Amino acid sequence: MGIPNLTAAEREYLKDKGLKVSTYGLFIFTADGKMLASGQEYDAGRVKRMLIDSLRKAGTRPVALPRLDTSDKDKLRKPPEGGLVLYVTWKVLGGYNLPAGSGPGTKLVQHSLGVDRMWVRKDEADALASGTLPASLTKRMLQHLHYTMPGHVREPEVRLDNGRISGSFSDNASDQGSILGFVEVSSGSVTRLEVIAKGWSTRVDDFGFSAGLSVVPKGQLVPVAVLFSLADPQDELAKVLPSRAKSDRYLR
Amino acid sequence: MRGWAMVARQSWSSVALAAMGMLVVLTLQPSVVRGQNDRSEGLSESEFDSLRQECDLRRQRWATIPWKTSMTEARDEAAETGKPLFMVVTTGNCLGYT
Repeated sequence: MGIPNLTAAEREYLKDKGLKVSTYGLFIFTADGKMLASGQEYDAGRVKRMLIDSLRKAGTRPVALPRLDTSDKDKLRKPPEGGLVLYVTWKVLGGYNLPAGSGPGTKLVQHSLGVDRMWVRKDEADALASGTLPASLTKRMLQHLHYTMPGHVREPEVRLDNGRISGSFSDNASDQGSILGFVEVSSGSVTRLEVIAKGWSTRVDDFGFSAGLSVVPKGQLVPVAVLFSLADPQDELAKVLPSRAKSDRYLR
Repeated sequence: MRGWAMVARQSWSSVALAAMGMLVVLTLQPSVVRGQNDRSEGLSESEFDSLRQECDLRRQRWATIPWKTSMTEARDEAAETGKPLFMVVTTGNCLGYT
């Protein structure tokens, strides 16, 4: 079970507002802690109604609140200083039909984009900028391929040559995966890093994190693409912890 | 939908909070070895461009919402503006249900 990146005061504030939810939940509450609504909706219309009903209940009066204690903010996990943040996203590229009778939620998930992040250490970023692909970085990227294409990533080969990342991996002679990517550098810093890996996968069950892979019929082989792309670390979505960052060994 | 979008822009302080529920144990591969033969002819640049667009997080509608990932900042803004907070807790994947 992962641990959200929260200060002690934030944990206390959230303890009765969804902190213990581990899979999926929507929560609407006022700044002073009054719960207005909660649920696990997949239907956009119902979510919209939940939002509008909560707005009516809440009113719009500013409130004066004591500030939360942020003295332990420095203990929160952060990307490595001078490093990079990558978005890691993946999508099932078709290749199957859902069983008859599948619900609307399942159909939404079928086409959804899986999302994670990946951190790159400063020394790894410097190596990339100088034209070298560090083994530690490749290993961390391959972790994501092993997650999205379990059992279908063997004998991986990845290389960087003049800003072009290329490579391949295989399961057997007929299931070959390909890797293609680009690195651009300006003033000694990486300004573009985009890598696509395309291969084959099967259903991945883990409470929905695998997105479209979670509803693939068991035993069905499907094509999958995984994208690693450079994020702006100031983007709010880039500040969400990588799924593997809860481990102290993550950046080794 | 347009009316709702206006409400979303004008009336909400939003918080996205990713809570991990992933229980899969991963086995890591050995270090990558540079191969003798080039097997990388599989992806063309045009296919790369197409797949990049398909997998681009920024093209997801839910990603265009001005989320906050700091609970403290979201709470402060909600208090100042008199607006409620809308928090999404997921296993790291917001599927656009908002």
